[in-house]
Amino acid sequence: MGGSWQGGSWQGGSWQGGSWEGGSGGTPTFAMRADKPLADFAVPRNVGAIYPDYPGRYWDPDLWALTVLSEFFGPALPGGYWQARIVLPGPPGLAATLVEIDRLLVLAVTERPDAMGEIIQQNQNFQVAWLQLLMIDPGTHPNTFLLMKLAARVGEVVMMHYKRIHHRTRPSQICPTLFPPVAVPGHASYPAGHGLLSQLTSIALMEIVPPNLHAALLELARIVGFNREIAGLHYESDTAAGVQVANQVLPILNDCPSYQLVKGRALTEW
Amino acid sequence: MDMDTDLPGPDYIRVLAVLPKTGRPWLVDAAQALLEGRTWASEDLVEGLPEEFKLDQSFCSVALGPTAASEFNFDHDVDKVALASNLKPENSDYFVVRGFVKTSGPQLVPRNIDDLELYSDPSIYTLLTCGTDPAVGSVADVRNKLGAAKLAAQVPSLDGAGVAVAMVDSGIFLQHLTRVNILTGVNEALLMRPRPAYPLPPRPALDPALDANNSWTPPRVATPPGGHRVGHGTMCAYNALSIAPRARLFDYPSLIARAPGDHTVPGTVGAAMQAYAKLIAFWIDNLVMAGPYKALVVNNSWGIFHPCEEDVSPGQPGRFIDNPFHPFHVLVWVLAILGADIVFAAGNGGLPCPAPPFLHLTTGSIRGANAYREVLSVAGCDVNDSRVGYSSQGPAVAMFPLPTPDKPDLAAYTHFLGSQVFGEREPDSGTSTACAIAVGCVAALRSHPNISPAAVPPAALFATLRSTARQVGASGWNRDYGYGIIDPVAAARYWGVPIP
Repeated sequence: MGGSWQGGSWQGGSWQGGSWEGGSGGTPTFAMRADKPLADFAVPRNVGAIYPDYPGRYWDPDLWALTVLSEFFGPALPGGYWQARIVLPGPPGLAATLVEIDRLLVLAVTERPDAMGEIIQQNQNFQVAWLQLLMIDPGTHPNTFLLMKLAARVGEVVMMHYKRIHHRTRPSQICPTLFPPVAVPGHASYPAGHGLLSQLTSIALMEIVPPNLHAALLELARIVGFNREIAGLHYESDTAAGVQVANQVLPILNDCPSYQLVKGRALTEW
Repeated sequence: MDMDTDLPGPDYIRVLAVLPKTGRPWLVDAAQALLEGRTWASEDLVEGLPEEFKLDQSFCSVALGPTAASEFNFDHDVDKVALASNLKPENSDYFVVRGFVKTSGPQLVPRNIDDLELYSDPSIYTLLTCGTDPAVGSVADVRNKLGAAKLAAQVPSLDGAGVAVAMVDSGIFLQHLTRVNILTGVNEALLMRPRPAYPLPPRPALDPALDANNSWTPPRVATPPGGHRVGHGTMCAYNALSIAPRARLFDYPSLIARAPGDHTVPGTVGAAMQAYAKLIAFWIDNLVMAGPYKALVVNNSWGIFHPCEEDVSPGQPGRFIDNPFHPFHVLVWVLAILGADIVFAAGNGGLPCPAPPFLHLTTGSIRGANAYREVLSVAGCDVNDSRVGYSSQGPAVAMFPLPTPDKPDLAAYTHFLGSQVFGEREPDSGTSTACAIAVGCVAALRSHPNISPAAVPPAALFATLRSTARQVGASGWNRDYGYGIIDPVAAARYWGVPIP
């Protein structure tokens, strides 16, 4: 829980490809023997690397993406302060929540056995599914990849902001027999993070990829959000709320200079 | 973001709305688009809708005739010609559309917005079980017990020839039924190892099992008629053909026709309404143009697991599960009056072992369309005549103010080895299978000229099936088997077919 909850290390975050494909994990180290250290050999200095020269491609996309936060949450956006531009109704009350719980129970017994593979695969770092769908990676489409990172960083903060406001109980707190097959995340239920980030990723990509891919992007977003309901982690209304917030986040993101810069470059990749 | 992509928000609920045509001429074009298989979408703001109602344009619209659903008279005698004419989009005064309304949660949908009557559009599911008991017998036993060979040996044969069987289900994978490779056209039945254990009876080469032209591909479904993922729909189609091997299938995959913006997997009652609207139009054309089909039988192996799927609170008139004035009932009634035989599975919510998604609510588990009086509701028993433990028991949910009919009507066989669509040695199970077996019986009977819909309307045929059913348990109607186990040979004899 915490740590790399979502987006943190889903690719490019750490040394090589993060941990999303398994691998041995751990920090890569590079040895230099003590008796004949590499530093003992005289080589010409690489003067081309003199400051200031840190190429953009060297940047860790995760860390570069953090820089958009100060723009998004700052007071200087042309469209106004972000909070005033997002409307989210409160979560349903107890009676409606109990109806939603029953629906989740039905889903748990009808859909979960078939959905287990996707639920587990999408539990963390689910954005790799978007890379797979579009057949891209950080090497082929670095700016598209970076754009996804920008959306993820902003989405995460917005999501946590509203989760803290509403503090909605997780379904399995009310009905423990929903027994989610993956760990219940360490934050409140409303709005759904997977629903929000999935929708935001898809609609952000829809502004740069060809139209023939749009429907597939939306379907993928829908499936990822819905699988969290099948898993008993979210109510239907959480997912709908996530989608609603995502639709309001994108215009604000489009006001951010860093996002505009990356988007402009990403457009040239398609 | 248009309505095809998402819900308006967490405070919106999907509903069906019945509304008059006055001031809304687009309703006619939308209904025609559905029947013609066109995409309908209006770039402009659609006229005549209140702001609180967000229209789902991908649904198109369904013509409902001269009255609103709430005022429909299900007891009147009708002129069928006038009925057929009134159901044409250009003549209809009322229509059904789908959309979203703002509410504070499930089961809090308002009754009306302006002149729109709002009704629930709940999710519907296949009625399969999670039962782990092994199969009891095989489809060969079922055919023997129902006298399928005897029926087929009559002259003219009672084998389903000339009868359309519409599978309102999850879609059919035809190759599993015919064993004809869809790419090469080669019948691979003899090449397969191991050989298919229970192949369907053969049919002539020029008598295709599927009528793709009269099938339906809902919006956003990728696979064509007869090419859907193998599963529940294929199982049901197999079982209908096992008793009526020359019936012709219509593929109506409503159960995979997901509503746009919806987060659920299955179809909804709205998708079933679209299917029925198309079936009504097809059947009227077939009657008027003296088309190739002498009967239409509709298989409905689906239902509602639990009242939580309802979006309208108990006692309110917009409900589906216990409200006879839901607009879907109007379409069912119309199709039945026009001579189609509509068969529903009773459900799998019976004691002592209800299917898990019924959430242990076994009382009134025959609900919604499965409890309509115009339909034949089928319970399940194994080939030893023992009721399967999950088969829904009567009485059905009350359909106030209309009288509550005795449901289930009768029982049919299930839980046997047959299609094996779910794997080798996996039984065809649930009242889904029983429903399809009953559909096969009805289709077989309908292929005989004595028992055409014109001569024997659906209500009369169903009455015969009830009166000739082989009684098990308490005499008359009982809550487990209804009026008994279906006996198509006895029913055929009743209508003058001289079967020794």
